[in-house]
Amino acid sequence: MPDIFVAPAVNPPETKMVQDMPRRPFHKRMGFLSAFAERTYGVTFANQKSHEEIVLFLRAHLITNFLWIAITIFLLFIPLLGSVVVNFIPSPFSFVSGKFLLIFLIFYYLIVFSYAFLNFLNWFYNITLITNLGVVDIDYSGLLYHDVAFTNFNLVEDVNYTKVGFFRSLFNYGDVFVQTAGGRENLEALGVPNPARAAHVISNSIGHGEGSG
Amino acid sequence: MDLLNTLDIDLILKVAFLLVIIMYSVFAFVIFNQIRAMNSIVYVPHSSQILSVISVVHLVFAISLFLSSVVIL
Repeated sequence: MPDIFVAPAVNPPETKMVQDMPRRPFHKRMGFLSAFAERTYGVTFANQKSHEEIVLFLRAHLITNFLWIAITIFLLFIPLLGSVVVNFIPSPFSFVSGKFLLIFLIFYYLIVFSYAFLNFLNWFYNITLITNLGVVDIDYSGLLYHDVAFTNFNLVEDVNYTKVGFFRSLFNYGDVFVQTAGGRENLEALGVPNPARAAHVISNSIGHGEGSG
Repeated sequence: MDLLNTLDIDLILKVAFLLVIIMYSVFAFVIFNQIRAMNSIVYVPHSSQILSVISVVHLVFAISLFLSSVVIL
């Protein structure tokens, strides 16, 4: 019997399987205020080997900066409070001309900015890097002190973390301690976000560094 | 009291202000240098550059304050 109607052949829509999707590189870009970043790219450090990649980037949790931020905000309002108080009590600086007060005011806000900036730098440059080869601990404090420690994973003996207290549990940050072999100083990452994950990453890498058996 | 009367209070204050601002300018230069040193140790893209710019602006502002004080005071 002849065909009355033959439907045109329709190609089925292409369905991409997940495994056929182009793989995105498993690297994330660092933010200005990032404190916890896995497999980030772009960050480099001194003495980094050509095949060394950063697996985990750690800083103290942002909430650890609350105290100096609060102090800075308070210091910003002190001149305003002073101008209000002067309306009610006689100023002890009446012999000082206005131009001195202006320069002093500008200098005061410069000091407040320096206080905030130095505290920010203390937070920004205190970094712990977990690479595929080892741990890099960068300590920075007081503007004139910085200390950098490189430790291969074959020298790392143990890692543990603590998360004690209400705020630490609430904001999920704690201290990670890396015990190293021999007379080397132990490494610490204080107040870092998600310390459990950080300790897990380090513990998975113990014994895998260069020179390990 | 006679000594205070003979000495110009404004001059004393001006010298004191200028000395303090000079010291602060040196401090601002130290900050600039330390940021440069730390960026050579660990470099975070964009963030390190922002901090460098802030430190330069801060240093320029401190020096400008000193020069302004010389003129104004």
